[in-house]
Amino acid sequence: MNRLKTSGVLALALLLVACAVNPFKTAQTSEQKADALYGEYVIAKEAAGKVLDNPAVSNAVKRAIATKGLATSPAANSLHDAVIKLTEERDKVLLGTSTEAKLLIAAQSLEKWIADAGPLIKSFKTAVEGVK
Amino acid sequence: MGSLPFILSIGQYIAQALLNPAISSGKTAEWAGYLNLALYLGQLGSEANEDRKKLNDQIAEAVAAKRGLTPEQRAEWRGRNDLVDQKMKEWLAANPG
Repeated sequence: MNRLKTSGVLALALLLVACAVNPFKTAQTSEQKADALYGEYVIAKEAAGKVLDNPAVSNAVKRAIATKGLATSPAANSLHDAVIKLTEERDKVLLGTSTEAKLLIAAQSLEKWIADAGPLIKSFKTAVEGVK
Repeated sequence: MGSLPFILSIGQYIAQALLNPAISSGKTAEWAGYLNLALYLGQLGSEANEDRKKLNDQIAEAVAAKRGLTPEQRAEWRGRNDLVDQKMKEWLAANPG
């Protein structure tokens, strides 16, 4: 009986792994990687929000998760702002209302925010997954 | 692979629930507790996986079109983050340490 149960668990685990997707790996450009990173952050954030509703989780853990979530938001939102700015500059260059130099600055800013916000977002995701 | 630890944690809880001797010894309350926890974790995991699939589809579309997400898609993700930020602020205000 236990073997049957174990087989069922393994089958379920394999199914869950098979269903898992990784948007960050799907992304190819810095712009797409930034979008994927931010989306992953929001998904982890919403899971953290649901943890706040769970009476089985202690207030100390909820407080730590909420504090970490709010502390990560400025960097994550700056990453999001940077990708929006890059898109706007590219559109302006196409329209002839901006310069390649400004586009380069926007691209460098995005790279900086991917490097800065990426580890913070991953750390937050790990914390949320640990609570769940 | 960022979701793997979460998936394994779900698997761990489900395994504990299924393999726990309480099931066969008739300790139904303990079994029910494991089952509830497994269902809760499974629900959270399922919702997160659905969202991750949606995001992956959006990114795959963007890759095919050689662009980033659309402004509308970006606005949706930002709005969702802002909502959780607000919820976290309200929770912290109502539960000061």
